[in-house]
Amino acid sequence: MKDEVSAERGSVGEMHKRRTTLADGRYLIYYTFGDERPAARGSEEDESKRGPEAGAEAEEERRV
Amino acid sequence: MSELRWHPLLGEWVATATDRQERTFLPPADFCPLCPTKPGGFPTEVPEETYDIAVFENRFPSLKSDPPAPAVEGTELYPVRPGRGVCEVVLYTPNHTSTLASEPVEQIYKLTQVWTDRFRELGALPFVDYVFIFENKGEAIGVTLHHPHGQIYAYPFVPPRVARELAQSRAHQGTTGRCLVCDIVAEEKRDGRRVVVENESFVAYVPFFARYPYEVHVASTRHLQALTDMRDEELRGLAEILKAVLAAFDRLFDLSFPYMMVLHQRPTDGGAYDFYHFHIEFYPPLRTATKLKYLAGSETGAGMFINDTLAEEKAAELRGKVLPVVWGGGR
Repeated sequence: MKDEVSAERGSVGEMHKRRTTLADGRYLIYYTFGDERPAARGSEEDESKRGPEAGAEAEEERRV
Repeated sequence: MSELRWHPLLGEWVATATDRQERTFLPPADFCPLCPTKPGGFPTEVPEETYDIAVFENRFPSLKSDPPAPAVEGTELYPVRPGRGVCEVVLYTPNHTSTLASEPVEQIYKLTQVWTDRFRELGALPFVDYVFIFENKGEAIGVTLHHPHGQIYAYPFVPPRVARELAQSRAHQGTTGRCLVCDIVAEEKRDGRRVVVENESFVAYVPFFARYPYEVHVASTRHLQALTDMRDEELRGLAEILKAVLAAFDRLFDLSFPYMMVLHQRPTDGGAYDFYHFHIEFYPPLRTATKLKYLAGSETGAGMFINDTLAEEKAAELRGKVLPVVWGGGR
């Protein structure tokens, strides 16, 4: 049923998060959607690459 | 300076956030701080050249995760506490001239996933009791930046309006054994005159008790308490019905319709809220194409709203402006 709905409604791909820190210390999170994960840059964190727990979180995110 | 001062007459907290007086006010489009930073251009809040959806901590927050001590000492009558919480800005799109209504349904579906993620992450913070997701749209509402965006306030308490809904819902559950919003949805669907649009997972209606002429509520047909309870097809259904309602708003007077949009979900304070029911409320300030509904003496001073219109008539107007939502159909 879910696949039928998805096919009818189209797909946006999986959600990925990348957290960065701005110059004044505030955080900024980029959300991207698709099959390719964005590469983390420098000290930035790709939250889907932080180990098993983060992996479980990412899996949880995909199920929302 | 950011602190919470107790309002003893109403029994609620008031935030004082004096830094907010300095916030950017209606800048020209070339200097929008919410646009991606262009090569050689002035640095905005978003250093990269583009993004899909982005979330950042508000530069001018009412609440901070590490707030300063209050500027004044509290008393027994006037308690004061630090303004601890989180204020985020959610950028819906890098396109400065877009609106949520004009975004494709796919983008709104992405937004529902981001909202879900923010609800989960912020709600897990030990000092956050309530995650409030909302959008103020249009100068009539008082927005200071036109770039399409919403906000999230993560409060250290359950805000009074939601607390009142929770109390009413708990009382209804106690006397009838049923969910209040489930009963409202059933009543609106049974009557039908105030329903604007519905799909398999959600129904949008101008409630019987509307306080604003074009007030619309969007409720899930399944009894659930938060975005995190939703299945994927329900998030898609939510995106569809939001697109349908927002586009109908814009078609109503052939203008970009101003509104406040608020998501009412369960608190995140660890309590049991099975009796509560997720829904979204829209409060548009327009009563005609050129006239605003003001919150004047009765509304502000007494708390009694006076609606100059009939919900049944306004729902029929909106229903006549609803068009099918097509996935892959663009804007």
